[in-house]
Amino acid sequence: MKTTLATAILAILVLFATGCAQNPPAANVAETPFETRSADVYTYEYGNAPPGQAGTGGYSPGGTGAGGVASDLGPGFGSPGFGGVGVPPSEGRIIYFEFDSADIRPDARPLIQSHAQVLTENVGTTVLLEGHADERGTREYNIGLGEQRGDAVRRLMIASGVAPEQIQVVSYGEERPAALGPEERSMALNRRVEIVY
Amino acid sequence: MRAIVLVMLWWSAVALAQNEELTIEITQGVEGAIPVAVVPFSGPTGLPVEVSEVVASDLARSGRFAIPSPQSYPDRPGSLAETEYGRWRGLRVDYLVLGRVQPGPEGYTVVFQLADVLREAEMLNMSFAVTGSDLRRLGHEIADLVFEAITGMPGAFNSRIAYVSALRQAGGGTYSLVVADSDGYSPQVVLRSTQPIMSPAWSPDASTLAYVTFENDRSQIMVQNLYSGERRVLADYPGINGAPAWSPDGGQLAFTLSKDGNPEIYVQSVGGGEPRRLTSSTAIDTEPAWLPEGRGLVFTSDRGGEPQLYTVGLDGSRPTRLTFEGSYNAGADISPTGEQLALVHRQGGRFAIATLGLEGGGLQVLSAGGLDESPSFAPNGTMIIYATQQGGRGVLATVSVDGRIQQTLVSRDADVREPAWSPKIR
Repeated sequence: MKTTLATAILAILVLFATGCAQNPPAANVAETPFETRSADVYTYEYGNAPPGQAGTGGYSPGGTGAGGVASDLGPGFGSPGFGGVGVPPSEGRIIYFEFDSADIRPDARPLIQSHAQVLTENVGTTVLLEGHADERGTREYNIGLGEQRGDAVRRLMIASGVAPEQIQVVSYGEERPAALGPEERSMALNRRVEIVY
Repeated sequence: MRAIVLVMLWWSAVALAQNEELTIEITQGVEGAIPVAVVPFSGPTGLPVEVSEVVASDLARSGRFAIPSPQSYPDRPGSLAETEYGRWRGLRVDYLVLGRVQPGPEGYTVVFQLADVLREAEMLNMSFAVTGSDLRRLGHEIADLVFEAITGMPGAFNSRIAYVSALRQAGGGTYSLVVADSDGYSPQVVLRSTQPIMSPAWSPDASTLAYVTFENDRSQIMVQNLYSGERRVLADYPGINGAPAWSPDGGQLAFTLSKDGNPEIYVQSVGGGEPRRLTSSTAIDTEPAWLPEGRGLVFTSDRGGEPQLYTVGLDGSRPTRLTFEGSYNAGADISPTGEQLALVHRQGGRFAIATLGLEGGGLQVLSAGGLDESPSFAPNGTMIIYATQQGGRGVLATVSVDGRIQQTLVSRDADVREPAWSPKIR
């Protein structure tokens, strides 16, 4: 059972890392949120992905792994050799949103529905939807916004057949950013729901 | 994962890491500040705190006073009886503060006097018996007395600020809830956590803080007495538990819960009981702030499609929209008199601190803007402290309500944010 579930989730991650993922939140995003490129980009993490396990090239052109480990893996990264490399945390389990919006973007629906399928096939499994916001606007309002984003993903999962009691939502607002920095690229990475099994 | 949480007692003499200390940078002062000489108080050397230095620094920091350097003073009288006013008029000061510190029954006896140099008249002459550890606080209190005697407005130096300090570290962050004097001195960590801490709010008697933690990987509203260290859970419902705000009489708290499906405003007695819901919409309703005299609450809602401020009565009657200028107005704090509120206002893509008159008078933008947020009034209503960013770091800033006096409070290492200015310490 456990193995089946792990395989299923893995399959989603692979699937959405290899091309049919939703588009990156901003055009030309070349880094994962976990890149440690240089000290002045304010990039840091609060530990969603252990260093070395997080992978690479989240978005199309490829990038750098967590912990500053560079990788050459590019767009084609995926199925073969996958296990050793790890999964880019930005792919397969993160849903991105527009500014001050909790609307599910059409390109995010397939990913959510894939997770919904895993959950309907594994009714003993629960999932935590962590809603996040970018740093613009007030902190408590952003807590509300993060929850609305989590609720939007939850509703779509339930509409896809998942039992409500399998899904928990928690909002961290802007308190746990995936990327730091004032540029739109960072903020786009922070407007997200992370699906945590 | 259980967070490691360390609760420290308020008065336990905890040696703090230097990174909790804030440094003040005066970025803009007032032209035509009133010149006041603050003579170094006479008395024994090696005191834990030089009281007159605290007084001089407070007055200068307010931007309303110019304090000439003691090196330029004609002499250093310990009392007005030994003062030749003519020599001080030559220094072109309007007022003179002087005093002396002597060993006393409780540790020290501090006497100070304030004089009007032009009229050669004594304005204040007071004596205090304090312990060594209260000397700094007494300096703030004397600054408040001088401020009020000269300006006619109560001072706010003898007050504190609570704020959240976040230290980024490899493998995670550390969040601290800190309480410091209004000038950033004497910081004390009230709570430290590996999970976010948010929204500190002072009780009206300045004894207790309400705040939000994620210690159990979900939000909870906690209430903590700063003197006894006693700490309890006020709200721990499924979903959001956020944005606590004390009623002016200290008997109730307003806050945000989403247990009924989406964020709504609730009011509950401090002692406990069932939270009573005041709003009902499918939108985000949050950030309640109390109007004085039971006139209800101001809160943020995006029920109109974008965040704006609304008022609602304590009976939960239909909310009324308060802000119409701009597409983002949120996070209100009400001035102590209830005449105006401070808010976060978006203008040309930048988030700035603004005030809005509640009895007429429009929106006035006070800060340069960027990612400014969390405005909080000083207890005398003359200044607003808020969070802003400087070089990618979170810092605190103060601005006078007329926008003319600005300062920043910078932490050496940490991101600091969510300042809450305490009521005046009694």
